[in-house]
Amino acid sequence: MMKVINYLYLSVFLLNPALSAQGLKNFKQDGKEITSEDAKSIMLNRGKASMDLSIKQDILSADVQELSEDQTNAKVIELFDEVEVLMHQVTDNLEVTNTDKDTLLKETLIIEKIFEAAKEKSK
Amino acid sequence: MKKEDSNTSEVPKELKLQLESFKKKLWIIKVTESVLAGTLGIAISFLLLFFLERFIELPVWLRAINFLVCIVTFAFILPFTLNKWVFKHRRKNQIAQLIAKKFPHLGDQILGVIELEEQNGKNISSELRTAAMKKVSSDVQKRDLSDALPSSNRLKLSLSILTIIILIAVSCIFLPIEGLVNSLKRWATPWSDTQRFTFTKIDLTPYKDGFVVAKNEPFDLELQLKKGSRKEIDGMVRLGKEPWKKSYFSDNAITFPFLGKTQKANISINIGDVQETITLYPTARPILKKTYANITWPEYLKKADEKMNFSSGVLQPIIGSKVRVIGEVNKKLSSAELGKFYRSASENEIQVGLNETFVESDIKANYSFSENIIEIGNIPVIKDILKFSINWKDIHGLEAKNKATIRIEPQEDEAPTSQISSKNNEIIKLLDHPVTFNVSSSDDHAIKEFGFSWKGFSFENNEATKTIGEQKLYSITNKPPYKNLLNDEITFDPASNSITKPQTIVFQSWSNDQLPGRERQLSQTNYIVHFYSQEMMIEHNNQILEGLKDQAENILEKSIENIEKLENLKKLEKIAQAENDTDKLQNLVEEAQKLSDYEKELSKDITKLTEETQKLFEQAAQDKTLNKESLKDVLEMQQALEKANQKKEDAQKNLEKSAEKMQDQQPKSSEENADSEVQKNMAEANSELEEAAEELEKAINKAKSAKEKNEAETFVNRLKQLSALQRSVHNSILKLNDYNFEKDINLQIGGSHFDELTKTQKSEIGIIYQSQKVIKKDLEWIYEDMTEYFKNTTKPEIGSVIKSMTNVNARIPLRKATDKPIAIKPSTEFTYGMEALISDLESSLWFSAIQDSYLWANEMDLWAKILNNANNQDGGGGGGGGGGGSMSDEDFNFLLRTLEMVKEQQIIRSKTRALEQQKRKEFPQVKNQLQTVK
Repeated sequence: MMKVINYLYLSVFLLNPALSAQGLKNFKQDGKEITSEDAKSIMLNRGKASMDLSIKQDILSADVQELSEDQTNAKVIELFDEVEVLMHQVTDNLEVTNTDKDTLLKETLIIEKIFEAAKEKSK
Repeated sequence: MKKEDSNTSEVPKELKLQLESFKKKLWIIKVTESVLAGTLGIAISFLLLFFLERFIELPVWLRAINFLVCIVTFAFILPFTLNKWVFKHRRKNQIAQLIAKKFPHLGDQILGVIELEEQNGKNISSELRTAAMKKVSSDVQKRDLSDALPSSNRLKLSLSILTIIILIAVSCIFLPIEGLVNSLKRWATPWSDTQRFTFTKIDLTPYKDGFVVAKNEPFDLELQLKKGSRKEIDGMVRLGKEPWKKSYFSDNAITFPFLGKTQKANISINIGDVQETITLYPTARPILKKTYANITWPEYLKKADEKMNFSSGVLQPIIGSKVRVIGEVNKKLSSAELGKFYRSASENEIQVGLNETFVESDIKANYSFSENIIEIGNIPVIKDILKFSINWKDIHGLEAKNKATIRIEPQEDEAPTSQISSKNNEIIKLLDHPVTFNVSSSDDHAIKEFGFSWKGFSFENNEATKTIGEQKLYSITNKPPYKNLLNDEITFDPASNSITKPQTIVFQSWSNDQLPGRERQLSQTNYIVHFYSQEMMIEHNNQILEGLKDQAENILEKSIENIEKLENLKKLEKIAQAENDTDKLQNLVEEAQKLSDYEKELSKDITKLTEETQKLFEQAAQDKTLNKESLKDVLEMQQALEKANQKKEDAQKNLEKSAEKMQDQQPKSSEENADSEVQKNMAEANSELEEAAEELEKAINKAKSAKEKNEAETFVNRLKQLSALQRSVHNSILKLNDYNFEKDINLQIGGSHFDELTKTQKSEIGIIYQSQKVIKKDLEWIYEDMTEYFKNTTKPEIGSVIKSMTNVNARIPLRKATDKPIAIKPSTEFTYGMEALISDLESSLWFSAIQDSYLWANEMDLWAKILNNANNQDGGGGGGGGGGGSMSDEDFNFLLRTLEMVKEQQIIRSKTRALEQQKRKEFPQVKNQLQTVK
């Protein structure tokens, strides 16, 4: 549902003629003027790319959930639960094209926690 | 009334006249006397000053006192005299009393007459009174009343005054009249600034406000005779209480040298009749407190003027700038001088002349000083070094000890530098994996633009591919602040930059500055990424495995040598103990130590090998570039290496222990020695080394096994790849002919001669033809590799595929449509049919080419399938053979899955980072607008 809303929101923004005419007209890129068409294209590509990543993150989150279900080690399960929560947050962030420091930090935490789970399991 | 009149009588007229005369005389004498006394006082006061000042200069205060005393005295004497002699001697009785002082009888008579006169009208007969008065009058007339006058000093006073006048007049013979006038002025107006008249006239004007000299530096006091002065031969001066210094005149000047002083002091001057004192002020010389320059940069830099300190005196602006040099002196200035300008391209300096770019007079016109600031403006920075000096004097006339030399060293506007860096300058990556590297640039002024570019090169022939691109990371704006240092971490995603085919991508960073005509400056180093396909990476991993195996074999070989050495050492130790040979024992200690060190080195090698193995495992597990079975082998190889290392470390400790004990212990008999600690330690070390060797052997076997399993996988992939290419050739021929398979009709080019085809058709046929040749060659390679592989593994599935390949011609009927002889090599006999297919393409026999290419693609798929099934079977059955210490299947699968997830998450992170970078660099304003809408 969130994804649909976000797509709608992005479309409204990009198709808004007032914004295209006034807001985006004078944006500069590499020192030269970019047209509102350029800006639309930029925003659309960026939104799409972020949405793709969000979907991939969501799929990966399902994999973690599946893997977690087969585990018996409490510590591993706990770590995977944390990973899942983080992955959900990242998914949400990417849905709204939020790629800021917070998102990147969470992605790093996910990697560390999966490694930790692998180590815990191999003990 | 008559009665009254007859009773009245007055002092006789004669007496009255006499008394009046007496009074007048008295007054004249006393007033004259007082005037003379006052005049004498004045004369003495003047004379005193006149004579004294011929020898010494009287200070103002003394002259003032002298003058005041004189005036006050004069002012006192006159009123005193008038009161005493005029006011108090104005009546007849007062006169009579004064006369009585000298002539008492006469005085009393006169007093009596005066009293009688006052008693007029009283009961005294007027006749009697008159007779008495007449009597007294006649008596007085007989006397000279002048004798009754008090004594007078008029003569003495007059003489004294006269003497003084004579004295002064006589002095004037020797002294010019102006000397007298000068003394008069100095006496009468002590407060005025009238210089004392001297015969010797010294010009002390320069020292009027004191004599300022440089602190702690020797100095000369130079005195000059004024015009009209008496000539002098010598003179003396004295500083404070120091002894007098004597010096001699040369011409009209006299110089007194002094050593450096630090404290304020008086200098007494004694030359001729001049006695003067001047105050010495030792003062620090004026120094340049601060030197800075206002630099007007060349126009193209669009940079605001900049203030730059250069206390060293060396300024390094860029050519084309203009410089205003400003010097701040620590004292107020009285003058400042600008020296000549010199330009120096080499060591020899020549004075600057006038030329187009440098006009010295322009600079001098812009030269000024005020208060304590010296300014030299508008100095153009030319290609040569420019040198000039400035000198200055403070308000006391003290000069700078050393002139300040300003050196303007022109600098070229340096080109910007660009760098590109990463942990490794050359890496191999899977095609769909983003890469991260750092780019940076720096410039001496401002970077105009900065970015990085990439270019692709083919693996086959190293020729440039169509992949080329660049990304601008920074572009200068019109408003400062400008940046002269930039760096960035780049995450480059090949997929989002349309890189879809495996190739080598060479990255370079670049930047440019604002110098007109400057070309982009590329980074000196490149960042090279070989983007491999999955298949290539599998092949690459095989090579790594081969390398790891070789390394492990090498270590094993050395380990076995060490075991032999240890065996030998053990024997020799026994013998040495038995022989009680301490020298030998000592040698053996050294040998044991050497062996231990050698093992330490091997241990390091194993650690390194373990790390490389682990890296391969992680990378391959994440990339899926080793099959599951191979990965398991790699993991077991890693575990075996770790165990081997542990054993080696234990063995090394035992070797060290045995060396130590060998050194300490005493020789023993052979029975005792057999059980000695040394022998025990050696035996333990030996056993540990053997165990380590076993583990190494295991690791080698695992490496071999992993490689073999992976190679089989490689064949599958290679065949699949080739099959896909063959299908693509097939489809291309179909498309070219617009072939309708169902109708079996060749509508387009069938039967046409090659020369009759269009340019596009010719080009497409060329590509198909070349592709088919590549397929043939690759297939021959696969056949050769598989044959070789079969010799080592003797896997039945491989053998069956080889057999199938050899017999392929039997399944694909040859369509001999060409007369050309086909060269058939024994090892590539099976490709005879493919040679026929190529011939068909050459001869434009499209129907048979379409059919054969289709059949060949099917054959390749079939071979891949056989091999794949075999691999899968191996994988399923191989799970149980893991050995004692190996990981369970469940754990291994878990490990693989987590590693895969890590890789996937890493890719998501890299792509997120790339998006964030893009957002920060390119669309901040778009983002702001987005937030406004929110």
